[in-house]
Amino acid sequence: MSARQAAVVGLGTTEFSRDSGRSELRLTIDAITAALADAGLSFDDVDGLTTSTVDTSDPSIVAEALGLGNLTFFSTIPFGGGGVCAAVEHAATAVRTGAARTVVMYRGLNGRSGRRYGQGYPDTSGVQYMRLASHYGHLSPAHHLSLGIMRWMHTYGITNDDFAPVSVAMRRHAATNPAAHFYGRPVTAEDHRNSRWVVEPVLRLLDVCLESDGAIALVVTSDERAADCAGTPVVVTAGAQGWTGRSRLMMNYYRDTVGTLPEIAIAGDAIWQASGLSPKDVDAAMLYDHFSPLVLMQLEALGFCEPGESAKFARDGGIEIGGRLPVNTHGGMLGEAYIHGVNGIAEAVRQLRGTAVNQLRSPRHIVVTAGPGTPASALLLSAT
Amino acid sequence: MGTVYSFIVPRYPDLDGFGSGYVVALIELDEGVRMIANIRGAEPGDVTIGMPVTLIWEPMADGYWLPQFRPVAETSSAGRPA
Repeated sequence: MSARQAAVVGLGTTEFSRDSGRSELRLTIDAITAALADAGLSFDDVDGLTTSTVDTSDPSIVAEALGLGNLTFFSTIPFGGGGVCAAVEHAATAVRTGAARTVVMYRGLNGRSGRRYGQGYPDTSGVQYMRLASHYGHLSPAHHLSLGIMRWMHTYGITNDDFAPVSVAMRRHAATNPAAHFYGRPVTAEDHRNSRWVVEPVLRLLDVCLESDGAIALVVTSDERAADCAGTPVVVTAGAQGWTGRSRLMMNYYRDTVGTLPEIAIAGDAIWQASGLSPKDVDAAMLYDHFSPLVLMQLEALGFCEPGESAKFARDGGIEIGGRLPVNTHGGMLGEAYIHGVNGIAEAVRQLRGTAVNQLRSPRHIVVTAGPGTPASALLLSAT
Repeated sequence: MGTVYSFIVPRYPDLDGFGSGYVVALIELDEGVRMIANIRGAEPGDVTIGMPVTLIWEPMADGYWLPQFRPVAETSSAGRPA
């Protein structure tokens, strides 16, 4: 067995905005260019490309736009935002096995000035069960996920007020992050309670992520090559996907238990097993927070607290900077921007490099998740 | 016949033809399977998890019929097919 490790050596981001003024491909190219510069590598060093679906910039388009040479690895992971951690793990796997030397993972979207998911999917959606549900006025991610979340709330006696600590913590973290939409704009629990319903009685406006334009790219290469790179390497210690065999895109209504996140639990168990680490070894978590209750449900699925205990965990300050498990120190998708969770991966890289705006004291291991409520994925990243 | 297993009241976005305050429910049928439908003949605030409901058929603009549900105890004709 090869002992080769994979590391993230480059990180590039565009600005996050409501109107980028350029195409999704242009955003992606800008992020990749910045990531390679950060790594001290050139376009000629790239022999692999990966992203996940629901990205208009196919690897072939990106490769042509960048003028890349021969590639030995390219992949597109299914399930959109659920696949972004998987894309990094696929890149790392390619590097560990020698299938590629240097792989770029990227994602770019005009999520606000272009296609806005919060407006709902048209009934021409390619997914048959979504098309059927749209006849009932059930057609945005907020609707789809809330029907499951509501069952979890019912099971444990949780109400929307229990989501205020998440909503407030994410904006507090964002308030000191100049890249964030909520930079300089902390909110209170009262602001949360006064915000209008998006899906009653589950989600208020301040429980919902921020449709955004922007792009992020990461460069993954081997540990031996990382030693020659400009950027401080961050080790991809473990990564995994999660699928139950009956997992659907957000509409997981037909299995025995509704309102849990088995896909996240499967991916989480796999990274604990692969790394030999456990939740108590993790210094922070970047949890996919398209909707605030999903942060709580993921704490339960990953083993950071018992089922039904996450609301108390958050209420007691557990997810704050300085708490037991700082969550989304950049403000997450509720406070920074909705870049399909890739901004959570980016924040983990910055924290482990020691370059975050809300820097934790010498974190060693950070868990990152993607896509709770869909076939999901997770990463465990470590400082060198 | 079945019961409400979960439900929501979508408030955003505003959708043509749905008005405000419609209920999307996950119905657990007595036969043991679940399906999505709207709850007719009840105010959103009166819908609860565990509420017994029964099937009705609702005409759609294109000539198809859509399965919907109403509370078992509901006696008004609201929401029934014309």
